[in-house]
Amino acid sequence: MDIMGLSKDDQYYIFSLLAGILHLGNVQFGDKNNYATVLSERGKNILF
Amino acid sequence: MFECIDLQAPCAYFGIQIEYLKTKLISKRLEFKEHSENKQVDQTFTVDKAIFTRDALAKAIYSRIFDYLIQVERRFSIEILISILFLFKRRSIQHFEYQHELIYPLAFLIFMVLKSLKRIVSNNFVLIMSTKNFNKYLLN
Repeated sequence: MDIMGLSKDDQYYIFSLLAGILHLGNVQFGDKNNYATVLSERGKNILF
Repeated sequence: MFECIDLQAPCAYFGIQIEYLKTKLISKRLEFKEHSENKQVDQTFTVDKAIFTRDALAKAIYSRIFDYLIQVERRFSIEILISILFLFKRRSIQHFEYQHELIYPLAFLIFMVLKSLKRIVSNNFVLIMSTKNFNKYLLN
């Protein structure tokens, strides 16, 4: 990426965005009265 | 309020509020006019739709990064691109015995990508000259 002429800041932003996408894949949704909700803890299927 | 552990990392990386991302992931805002008055309603998704939204967000960000990288790449001359290719070659010598078999598909792939970007259409001559030099380099 240095050869491509990207500055260190740009590289940092690109990598942080990619890391954000990676972590976005871990977000799980649960069912709560037929509506979706983000689960507070991983591995739980139903949010009471 | 529930603490959304899963949302903390993406929000930190994207630089946005957790609540904002959460609302955007699981609901959509409908705007309509009623008696010449603008009204807004938040409609919550089902689980399937929320997963779809999450994937769509990931895809959108990813494609924007890709577009940005292509934009950066367009600023370069083809010589710099070939120097990157040589870098690959030097590395592949260390790891693989049959570097020629590896470098040709790679070169072909990159040229096809560039062609599809319609970058070389305007200066075909440069491409031909570069490929000649490239082949010379490989034969040496």
